[in-house]
Amino acid sequence: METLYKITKFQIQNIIRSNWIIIYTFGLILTTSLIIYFTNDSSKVIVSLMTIMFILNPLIGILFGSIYLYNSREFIELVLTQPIKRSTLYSGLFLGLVIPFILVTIVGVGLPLAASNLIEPDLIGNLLSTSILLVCIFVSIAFLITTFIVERSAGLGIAFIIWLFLCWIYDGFLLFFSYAFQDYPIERIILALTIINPIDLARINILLRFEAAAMLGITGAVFQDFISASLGKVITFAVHLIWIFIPFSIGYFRFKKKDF
Amino acid sequence: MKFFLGKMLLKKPKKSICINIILLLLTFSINPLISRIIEVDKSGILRTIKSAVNVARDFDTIYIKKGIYYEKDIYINKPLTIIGENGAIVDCRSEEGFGFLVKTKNFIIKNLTIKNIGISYIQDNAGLKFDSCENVLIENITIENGFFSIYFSRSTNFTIRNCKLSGNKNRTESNSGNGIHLWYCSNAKIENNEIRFQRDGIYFEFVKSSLIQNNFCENNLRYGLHFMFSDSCSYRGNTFKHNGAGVAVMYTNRVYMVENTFVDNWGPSSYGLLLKDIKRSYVSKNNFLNNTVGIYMEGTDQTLFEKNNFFKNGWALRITANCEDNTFRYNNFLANTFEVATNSSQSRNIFDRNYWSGYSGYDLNKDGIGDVPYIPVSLFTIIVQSNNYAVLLFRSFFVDIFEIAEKIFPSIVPKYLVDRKPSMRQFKW
Repeated sequence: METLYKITKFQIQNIIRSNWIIIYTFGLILTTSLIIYFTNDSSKVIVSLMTIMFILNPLIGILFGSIYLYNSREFIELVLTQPIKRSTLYSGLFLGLVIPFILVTIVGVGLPLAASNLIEPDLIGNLLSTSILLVCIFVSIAFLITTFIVERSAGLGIAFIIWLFLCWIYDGFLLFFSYAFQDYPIERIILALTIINPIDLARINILLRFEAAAMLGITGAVFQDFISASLGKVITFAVHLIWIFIPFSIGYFRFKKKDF
Repeated sequence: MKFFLGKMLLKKPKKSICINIILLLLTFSINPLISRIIEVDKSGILRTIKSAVNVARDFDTIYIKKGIYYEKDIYINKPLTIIGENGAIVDCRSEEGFGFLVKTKNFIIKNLTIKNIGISYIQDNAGLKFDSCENVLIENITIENGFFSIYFSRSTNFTIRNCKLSGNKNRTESNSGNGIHLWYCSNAKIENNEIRFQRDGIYFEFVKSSLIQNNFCENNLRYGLHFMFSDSCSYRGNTFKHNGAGVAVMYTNRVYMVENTFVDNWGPSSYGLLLKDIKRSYVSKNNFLNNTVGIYMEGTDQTLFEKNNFFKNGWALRITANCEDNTFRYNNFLANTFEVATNSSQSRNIFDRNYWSGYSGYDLNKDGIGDVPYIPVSLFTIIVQSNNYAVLLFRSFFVDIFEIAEKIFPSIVPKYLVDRKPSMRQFKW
């Protein structure tokens, strides 16, 4: 436990020492404040922030995560020569990467939002927690990639493609699917397909919580029923957790057996 | 002289007799016209309104003193004036039946509060129910916890003004009634009323030539104004706020809608203004603010929409393909999520000189009219019109990229729905 704490602490210090996470934080604070200042309309602010938190943040998470892990390959090898459990090292690395991101999100977006008093705290909490879950998902995917692919450029390419797939291509498939089968009662299938993708789930989860919900019409009402029900809440949270857990654990098993 | 005097003597008595006879006749004929004032008092001789109505002759005035009168089914079949003192309340105790049931001409009722009207699924219980009436004035009536509040059928020439009507906010659509309900009426004037928590704020069916003016309808369960088969009516200066489904105007010709405000009608099946099968009407200087859909049109023809403000609506306009020959001009479209949605593949409506906040064209000759035509239909609305499930991609990155691509390489968005002369400046109406 102590070693886990030590590794995590070292990681965090190391990441904060590299300047660009601080630059990113200030960038977020600036963007969020500007959005709040110029739009000054709660629903528009939420929509703009959704793009930042659900699209940009995961991208940074997956790219920065992969780059960092590739860069700290020698450090990992060095630590492995010590009598430290691989599981401890792996979890330490993960926590050390995720915690700065959580802090960045809270400081970069949460603080300006809370200071502006434009959006009710309930919704801010929702936005932040969803965003944090998303970052965790993408960092864990970065772990999965880096444990499997040794070559740096290929790994980064795949990281980018995975991000692109989840936030863009998947929606295209969804649209194609709904066109192809629109004569059939496919509400539940669409519901399931949307929930599987963490970015879509996060987006809809937030959309349904503010007034844009009405614009989704009947299809939105199906979702509203599902998501606002307690079972739906559990499932929403569970899906995100599964998305964190599966890449993390696959990466972990690979890491355990990996011959450095 | 003698002759003259004699003539005078002969004539004079004749004249006075004439006058006397006339006066006598007049006094006899006027006598029934002199109305009496009958007081109803909790501690007086007449303690109930019903007994006062029984005693009253035609054209009498009944004055109701302060107090709570537990009465219902007060039946009026003669011309009367009923005036309440401040604090005069008729309480129907939520029992089956009406407050007042009126079947007469020339009836006036003023300054009265009617409370707790019972729910009925068989008959339309109302605080004030009028059947086959003429020349009625209703003023300063407060109805609390009503089922139907004021109900007219087959009546003509009446005015309802300065009334405050409210239903019960805990009820649902099926067990509540309408605020002002008119059925087969004509020449009605409805002014300055406030209507809340009813099923429909104001309900018109088969009404002709009537005016609805400066009313305030808020938080009604279904429509703020529900308007069917009512030709040649006009409504102006009304505010319809946060009603379940907004305002519906259906199956009507020549409606005149001016200076109304439609605000906060927000919900999956809610509209600011729903127009269905409307012909030759005029919609002008209305404000549509914060509605899911500003105007939803179906089968609407030859109607002129001008000088309206559409502000912050989900959709400013939704126009189905069966709308023809409508003209939209000098309207302001500001900060709507989507401006126009349609499922039509042909251009049958004219858009001319509107101001669109989404317009990004230029004006080289500085005549206030943009040089580039503006297409207010966005790609996403087209996709959603043809595929309902696609709405789930609302606000997604995918759609954003798609919209940008469409702007650069236009291919899907139809070219026919276009404002060729978009205004560069916002109009001030």
